Amino acid sequence: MYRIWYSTESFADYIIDHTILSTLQVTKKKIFESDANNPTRFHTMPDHIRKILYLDAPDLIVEKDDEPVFSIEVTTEAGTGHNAFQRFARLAAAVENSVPAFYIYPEGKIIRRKNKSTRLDFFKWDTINPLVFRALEAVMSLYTIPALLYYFPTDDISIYSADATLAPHFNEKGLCYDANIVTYSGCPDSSALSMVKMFEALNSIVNATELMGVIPARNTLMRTRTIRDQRNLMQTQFVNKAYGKVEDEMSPLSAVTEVPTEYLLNYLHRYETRTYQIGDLLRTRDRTALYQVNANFRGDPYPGCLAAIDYLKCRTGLTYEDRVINLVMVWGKVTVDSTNRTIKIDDEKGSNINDFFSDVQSCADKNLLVKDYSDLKSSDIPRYLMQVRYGSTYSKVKHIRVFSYFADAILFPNGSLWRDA
Amino acid sequence: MTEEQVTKGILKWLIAHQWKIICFDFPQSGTGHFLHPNSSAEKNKDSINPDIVAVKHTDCIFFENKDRFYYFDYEKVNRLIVDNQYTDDISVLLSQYIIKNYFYGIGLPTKKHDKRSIAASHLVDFIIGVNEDRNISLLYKANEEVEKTFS
Repeated sequence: MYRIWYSTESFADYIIDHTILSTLQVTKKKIFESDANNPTRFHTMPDHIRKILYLDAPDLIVEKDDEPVFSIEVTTEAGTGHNAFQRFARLAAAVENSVPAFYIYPEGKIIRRKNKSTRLDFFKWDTINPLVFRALEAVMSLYTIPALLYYFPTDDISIYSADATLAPHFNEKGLCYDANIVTYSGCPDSSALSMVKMFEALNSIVNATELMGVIPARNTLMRTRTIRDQRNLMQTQFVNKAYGKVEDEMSPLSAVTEVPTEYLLNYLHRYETRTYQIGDLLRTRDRTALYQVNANFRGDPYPGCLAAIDYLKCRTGLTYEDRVINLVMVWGKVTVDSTNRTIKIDDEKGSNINDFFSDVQSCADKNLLVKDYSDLKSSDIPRYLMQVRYGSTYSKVKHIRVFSYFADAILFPNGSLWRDA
Repeated sequence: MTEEQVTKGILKWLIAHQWKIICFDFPQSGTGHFLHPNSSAEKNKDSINPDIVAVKHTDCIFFENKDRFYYFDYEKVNRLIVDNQYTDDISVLLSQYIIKNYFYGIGLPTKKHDKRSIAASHLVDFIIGVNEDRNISLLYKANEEVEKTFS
């Protein structure tokens, strides 16, 4: 029995009807994303699904007999700069749990811009940041589990690049949706080649699952022809779209400064006392990547970018302990002080550690652990037990969950957080 | 019944009645078309994303849909009727059509059209209900013109 967990029912029907899932026994259920935004329902999600939802929720998860088979994330956002990585933590969460992840993303999207000198509106294609292909490749290499990107169908950008207003789907910002808008509302055009290829890959996973069972099948997927072909195509897309740029010149890696870890330790020395010293974890790595986010403290697109930087630059193994380089998020402007072998962080855009604490505290009203038994309604009790087991794991807002999962340290002009081990 | 099912139920009915769907949106669909206030300098401040915009002949209808009664939507629709701040973007969106009549209304499950919805109905041009069997009921029409539009 297959169970399809979905964020929109249209997309669940779209995937079922265009794959061999339509010939199998299937049920559908709505995903409740987290205890933070679905406090009355999230605890009803099975434990194995919650693990995938820990960092962020994908649009669809297919499971068989209580084992996830694959997950899919679909977006119609323009993928320039940091934005291409906005959903990356969702993919990472799936693959880190050995679940193949599929990402449907437009190669480009028509966006209205204002000409700065004439103040007149004009339309142009915002195209995908090709570094996302490298980040997915890094995830695949580490976990040997598919993490594949398929293009959301669009008008041919090469034909309409000079004048986006001529694109046949200009009113849909160049995106090609499925013609059946009642059944597959908002879904990609199922007749487009990229979607046909994706259905083939999904079928190969379901076929392998039927033949061997979910877990044995996972070990064979990277050798599957449809998956190897897409992996190769993604590599080619990176090369074709990078135009000779190296990875470090592309966002978000262009916001990363690498320093000797000694600089970080000297910066954090201010927190050491006679009885407390910064722990071993940071010291074990010679180098540190500082991801500079010179902005007000907030969420998207930064959580996904942090996850992607981890895979592109730091990770060598399956967990954050397996890094060659420390991953540090810096809210503020970083200056490297080579003379004193340290760093300096200035506040230019109102970055403030109290905003981090305030976002954490805002989740406190979801916390049932401070209540007495007599305060709990019957419907609260299973949720209470979930929180007893997992604490606030699922109750914090997404960006706090992701930042604290991936970052070895988070630095602000007026305060710092770090891991000891 | 979810908001997605409400919107899809209305879409199906509109298409069957020869309406041209200009755009639509429901939670997490990733679709929709944002309308910005006239002379808005800021990117998305105060912008709205109608749940359905559809055109037939020279009539255009706008929907705000929910899975329940939600008074704020009635007020929001009323602001579009009495003080539409989005006319520039609406003109661009409908530039291929000649529109004479604009109507703004609510979509919701028929059984949620309760006393509160009836009391708030004067704020909108129409209320469309989606029945449990996914058939559609015109629950409220402000005047004969609206009735003619849906007939």
